[in-house]
Amino acid sequence: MNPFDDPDANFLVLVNEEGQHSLWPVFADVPEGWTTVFGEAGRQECLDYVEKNWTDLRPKSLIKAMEQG
Amino acid sequence: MAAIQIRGFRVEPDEVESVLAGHPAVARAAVVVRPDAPDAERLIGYVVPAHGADGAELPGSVRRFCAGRLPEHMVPSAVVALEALPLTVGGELDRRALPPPTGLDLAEAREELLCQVFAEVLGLDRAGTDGDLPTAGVRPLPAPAGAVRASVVEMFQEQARLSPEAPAVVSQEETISYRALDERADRLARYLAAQGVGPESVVGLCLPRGVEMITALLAVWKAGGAYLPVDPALPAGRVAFMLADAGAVLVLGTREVAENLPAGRVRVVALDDPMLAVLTDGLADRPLEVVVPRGGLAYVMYTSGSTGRPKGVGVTHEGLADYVTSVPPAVGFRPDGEPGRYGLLQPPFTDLGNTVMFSSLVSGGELHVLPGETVTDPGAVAEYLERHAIDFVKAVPSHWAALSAGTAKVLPARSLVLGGEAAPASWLEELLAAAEGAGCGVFNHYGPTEATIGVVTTRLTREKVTAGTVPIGRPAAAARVYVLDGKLGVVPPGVTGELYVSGPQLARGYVGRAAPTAERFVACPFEPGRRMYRTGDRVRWNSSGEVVFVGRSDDQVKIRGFRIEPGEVEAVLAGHPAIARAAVVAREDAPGDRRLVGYIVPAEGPASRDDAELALSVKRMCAERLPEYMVPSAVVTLDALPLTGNGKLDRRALPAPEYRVKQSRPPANEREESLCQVFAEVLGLERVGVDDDFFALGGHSLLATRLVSRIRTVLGAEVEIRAVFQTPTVADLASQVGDRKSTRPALRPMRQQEESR
Repeated sequence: MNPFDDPDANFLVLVNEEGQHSLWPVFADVPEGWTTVFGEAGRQECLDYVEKNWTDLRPKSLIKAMEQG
Repeated sequence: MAAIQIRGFRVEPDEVESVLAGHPAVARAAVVVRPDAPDAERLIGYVVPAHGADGAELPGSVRRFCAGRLPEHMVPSAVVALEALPLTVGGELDRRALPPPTGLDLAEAREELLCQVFAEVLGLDRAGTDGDLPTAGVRPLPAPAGAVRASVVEMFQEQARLSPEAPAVVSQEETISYRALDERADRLARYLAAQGVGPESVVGLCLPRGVEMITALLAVWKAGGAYLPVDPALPAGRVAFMLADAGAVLVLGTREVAENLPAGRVRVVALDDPMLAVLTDGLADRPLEVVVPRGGLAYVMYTSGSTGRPKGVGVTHEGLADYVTSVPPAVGFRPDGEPGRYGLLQPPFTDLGNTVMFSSLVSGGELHVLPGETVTDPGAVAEYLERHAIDFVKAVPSHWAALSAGTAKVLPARSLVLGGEAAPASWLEELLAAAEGAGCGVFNHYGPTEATIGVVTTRLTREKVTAGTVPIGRPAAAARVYVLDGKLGVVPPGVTGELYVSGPQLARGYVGRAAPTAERFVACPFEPGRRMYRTGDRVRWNSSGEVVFVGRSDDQVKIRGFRIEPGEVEAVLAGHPAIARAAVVAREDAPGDRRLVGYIVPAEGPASRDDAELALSVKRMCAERLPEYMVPSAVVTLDALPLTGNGKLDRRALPAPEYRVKQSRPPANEREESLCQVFAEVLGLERVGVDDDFFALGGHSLLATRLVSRIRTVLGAEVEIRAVFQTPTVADLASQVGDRKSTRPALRPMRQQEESR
């Protein structure tokens, strides 16, 4: 099974500078350029967090460019 | 340069060289083989920095660039930056004059090697992640010099300026020049802008294939918006879902479509409404001054969703621009730089046809949109390609195989690109033999919609497919791929892992769906702050550095190039009031004929139900809610779903569907007898009676195409595909075969008919 699909594993929620969110399995090191904003917690809890907190899927640089443009 | 062996793997130095040369800051590149130890050789890369590039940073950057594109054994041991490559008097590369790598050149590579050794000794999954060890991972790519590149619509506009009178699109109804297409799109764009369409607005396009569709999508882009292609043949409920889910602000359709679309909040504008012509004719045909950021949304494409509802993939202008600049040369388009003629076989409702459509429009090509009925008719396709001297075509392998079943191979003049599903090696051998004789290149092209159409390509040769495996290729310039194990570590060549894709072609995500986006577009351990998309495809690197598709890590299937999550069909089946449990699988009971089969466990016991009636009502319900390709070809009633020891569905224990042949009179003559045999052969059945309905026995549009091909070969007779749909029995077709002369019918205007049934 893909490590991101394991329903019984624990995960983190990571965010990068563009505000993009990523599910992340706890066994792996957090990649450079990403910050943990939630977890560790169960898979569904993490996805619920993402759904609630990542409300605009546009990358931050695009949001900024559109505001200026 | 000849292929060499490095650590037991075959390496083509020329291939490594072409990857080096693809680095954005490299002007010229060369690769040489130098003896490393008495029994080993290693690759050394030499690069000349492009004007203004930082030469000191270049070697590291180039090696990391290679690491994302080549298997580990093909990455040069060192990369040396030179002011210029030494040339012989004859102007060829003087390999002997290349300076040997210094200790420093090799140091970084050695550190990376050390990391791997440490990792192996310590039993770590990956090295380079602890602070004490130097990082072995791939760093982010430097932005290419002068990174401001145009969007596809800007490239099209530039082309319209360069070749205004050249034909841009040729369809059954009309031929339109670049200038006329550009102006028409400009007027429509002004109308759309007046309706409030701007950056990030989604506009539904519910139009048949042809000039109107292409005008409309260009107009949406010119207004700054993103388009959402909607197949008019889809069930109304699904259309309503897509429009609402994507937040479409407007739908461009035809009057006919406007009548059939579900009444809702989305306004439908009919392009064939005379009022619209009055309104737009008065508008200026100059471009609007809309600036769309590179990350802006270009289109939304729906794919099947495993949880029961489809997902809209949001593709960006940046991803699409990178695609059309990097992929066409890698699939044999425009080998001489001259614009060519492209044949578009697919409707625009999936991204399959985008390869051909956008490659043509940004390069002055002549885009031929084949009518919907022509593309399933072998004779008509062959004739069209020949009559219009079509150079480039993209096709789904099962579609192409059906078109050329048993007859002379149907081929474009220069390049046939295969995509959408895995191509069987045995069929490819035949195809390649014909293609090589005809001077036509055959290319494999792989990629999920989530990475903008395609990321991996290769030119197929008979040598490549004789081993029974078919490589999907290596990444085109803008993409990077990683093959990772269950612990997210890189697997060595030959070992199966899961394919992850990174780079500018990644989609923004699934429109309006944060959680599914966060579980598929995940943090990339090799490129700080970047994401990678996990494809769910299981692959391995082969010994020549190409990716080979092995299978899926989940239940997703491909039927005729369409991507289907069985879970989505199961959700529909389970919604039927008379069904207790349901499972859906793709079966290939006859080679080359993959069909979706539904298994249902009725809520009531066998005594009180009519299985045949239930199966029919289930198929009807699917047809009302799902696209045609997602409707099971057969529905099998079971008393219980077979389970494995640990309680999961035992797919292998599911029985093959039985197609019941009617009692009918024996064939009356030789013609009927031959037709019965061809029907049986194509349907994969032992025998078929003269009164059996082709479609009731599991036939579908693609099999109908095969049937027409086989009738031509076996009986020497021409049957139009439309006749199969209208009179799908041997008895009825036999009378028509007898009436027809065995010459190919001339192409005649036919009404748009998407894969019906």
